[in-house]
Amino acid sequence: MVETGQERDEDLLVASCERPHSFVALYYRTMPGLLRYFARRTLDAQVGSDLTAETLAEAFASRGRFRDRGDGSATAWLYTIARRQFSSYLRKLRVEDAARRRLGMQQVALGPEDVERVEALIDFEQIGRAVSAAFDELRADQREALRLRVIEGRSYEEVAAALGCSEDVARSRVSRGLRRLAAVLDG
Amino acid sequence: MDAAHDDQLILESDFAAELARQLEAAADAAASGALSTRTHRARGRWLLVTATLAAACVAVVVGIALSTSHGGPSGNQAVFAPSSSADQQKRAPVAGKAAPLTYGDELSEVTRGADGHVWAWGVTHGTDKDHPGGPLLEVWDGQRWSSLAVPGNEVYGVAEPALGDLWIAVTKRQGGRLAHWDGTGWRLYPAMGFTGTSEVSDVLLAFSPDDVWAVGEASLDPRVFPSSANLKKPWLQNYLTALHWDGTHWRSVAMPSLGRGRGEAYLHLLRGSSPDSIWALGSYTQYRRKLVDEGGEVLLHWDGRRWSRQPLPTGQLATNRRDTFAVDDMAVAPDGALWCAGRRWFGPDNKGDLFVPVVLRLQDGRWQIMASSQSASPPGDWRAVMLSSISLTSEDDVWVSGWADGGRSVLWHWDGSSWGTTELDTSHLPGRSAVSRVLALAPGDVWALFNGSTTVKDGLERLQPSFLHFDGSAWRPIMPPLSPIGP
Repeated sequence: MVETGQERDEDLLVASCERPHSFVALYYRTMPGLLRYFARRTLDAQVGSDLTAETLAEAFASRGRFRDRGDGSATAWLYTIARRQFSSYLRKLRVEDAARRRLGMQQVALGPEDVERVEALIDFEQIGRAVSAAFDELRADQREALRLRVIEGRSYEEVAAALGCSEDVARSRVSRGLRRLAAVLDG
Repeated sequence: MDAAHDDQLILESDFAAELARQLEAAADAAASGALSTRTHRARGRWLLVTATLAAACVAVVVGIALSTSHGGPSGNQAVFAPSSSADQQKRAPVAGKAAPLTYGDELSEVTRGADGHVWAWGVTHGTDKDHPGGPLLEVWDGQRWSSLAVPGNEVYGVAEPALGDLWIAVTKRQGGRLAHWDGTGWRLYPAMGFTGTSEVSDVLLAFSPDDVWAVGEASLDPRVFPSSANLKKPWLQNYLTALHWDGTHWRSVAMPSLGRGRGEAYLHLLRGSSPDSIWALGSYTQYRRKLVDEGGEVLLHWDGRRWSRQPLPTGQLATNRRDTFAVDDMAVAPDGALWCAGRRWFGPDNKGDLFVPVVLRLQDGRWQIMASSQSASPPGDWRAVMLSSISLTSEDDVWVSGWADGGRSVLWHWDGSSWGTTELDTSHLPGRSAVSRVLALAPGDVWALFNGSTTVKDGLERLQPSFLHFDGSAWRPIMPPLSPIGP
C-alpha cells in the first residue's frame, strides 16, 4: 500500500503489521489527540507527553492484535490503551515505560517551549469555572503560582519574578498545584 | 481556541519530532531482519522469539537432564517439550544499531507450583531486531531454576495443580489463550484477554486438576463469548470475566455488574486459600462527560456458589472523604482473612505526604489497618516506602516486600503480634537489586525475587533477576539461568 494520506486509520494500522512504517503515518494523525487527552486529564505537560509516548509505543508493539471492525475502531482501540495507561498512572503516580523500553525508546524531556505548546492543549478556560471553586483548598504558594500562570496567563519567567523564586520552582508549584487541583476536582 | 492550530504546533514541537524519530527507529527494527513479513502479521507482538524459544528449549533440556542426574525431588518430573519447530536455530548474539539501553531478563511474578515447584515469569528484553526478546518462564525444581519455552507472547499467570499438569495464561495473536501442558504436549484454549502490563498480574489459580480459575477482561473472540459479537462497539465495553475449568471444559462464570454506561473493567489478580473462598482484584473506568473519568478498584469474592462485589477499604477506613486506599497485592490466610499491601492516598487538604504504604486485613466484611504510618511498627522510615507484594503462610507469618528511595529493599514480617524488619544482604546479587516479590511457602521456606541491572558498558545495562531464599536460618542467593542473549 502506498500511503496517500487518504487511508483510513484502520487501514494504516493493519498495514503496519507488514509495513511497520505505516505506523509512523498513523502517529502523525493521532498524536495530538492523544496528547490533548492526557494533558487535560493529568494537567501536566511532561506526564501527558510521557503517557502519550508510552501509549503509542504499546500500540506499535501490539499492533498485531488490532482488528478492523469498521470506521472508528482504530481510535477506539488506541484509546483503550490510553485509558489503561491513564488508570495505571492514577494508581501508581508513575508513567510506565515497559513498552518504550522494549522498543528501545527513551523518555523525551520537554523543553520550555514544548511545555507551553502542550499546556495550550489544556483548555484552561473551560475548566476554569470548576477550578476556581476548588482553588481555595490549595496551599497558598501553589495557589498564587497557579493564579499567575493559569488565570493571568503569565510566562514562567514572570511568575518566578512575581513569586521571588526560580523558574524551576515556579514550574513545580504550578504543576503540583494543578495536580492537587485535579485531585480536588476528582473528589 | 483553534484546535487544528494547536495540533499543528504540537506536531512541530521538538517532542513530536523526537517521538517520531524513535518510532521510526522501532519501525526500522521491525521492518527488517528477523521478521519475515508474512509470519509477523500472523504472529503479532512478541513472537519474534524464535531465537529465544530455541535457546530456552536448550535450557529446558539441559535443566531437566541436570535435575535428573542430581536426583530431583521427584522421579516423575514433568518434561516440557519445546513448542517451536526444529528448524529454529540458536543464533550467535550480535550487536545491532538499534540496541536499547537495557536488555536481559526481568521476572515479575513468582508462585507456588506442585510438589515443591516454584514458578516465576516475566519478560526477556531483546537487544536488537535479531534478538528481540520474548516471554520468560522459569521453574524451580528443588535444586535449580530452569527456563521453559512459552507457547505464546506474554505470560500473565501460571498454575500447576499437579505434576505434569500445567496451565499458563498467555496472549497469542489477537487474544488470550489458556495453554495446558498435559504431560505430552501443549493444548491452547481460547480465552478472554489478559491485563497486567502495568500492574501485578497473576490471573490463574488452581486447587486441583479439575478446579482451575482464570480472570481477565472480556474477549472480543466470539469463540469464547458469542454474545460479544452482538455488542455495539464491544471494543469500548470490557467486562469483568472469569472462566472455570472443570477438568474438561472452560466455562464462563457469571460476574456481578458494575452498573450501566460505557466503560471498561478488568481483573488482574486472583488469590485464594480454598475452592470456596477466592478473591479477584481489578479495576474499572466509567466514561463520563465530566473532567475526569470515574473509576477505581473492584474487589470480588467467590463463596463457592457465586461471585459478589466486596467492600473496598476506602469506604470503611477513610477518615476524610478525600482519603482513598489502593490495593497492590493480596494474600489469603488459612482462616479466610484477606491481607492486602497497598497505599493510603491522602486528600488534597493534607499538607504532608501524598500517600503512605498500608497493610490491610479484611475479615467478615470488616477492614482493619494492620500497619500504617500511624502505627508504631514497623520501624524505619515507613513513609517513604512503596510496597510491592505480600505473602503469608498463616495469620502469624506474614511477609511484605517493598522498596524505598534509592531502590533500597524492604522486607517486613508480622509474627502475629508485631512487625519486624528483615535486613537483606543483597551484596551477592547481580547489579543494583531491589526486592520485587516475596513468596512464603512455609515458615522456613521463603523466596524473595530481585531484579537488578548491571552496566555492561557505557549506556548499556543488562537486567538480571535473582533470588534470596530463606531456609529457616539464613538467606542465600540463588541465580536463575541467564537467557543467552546479549550484545
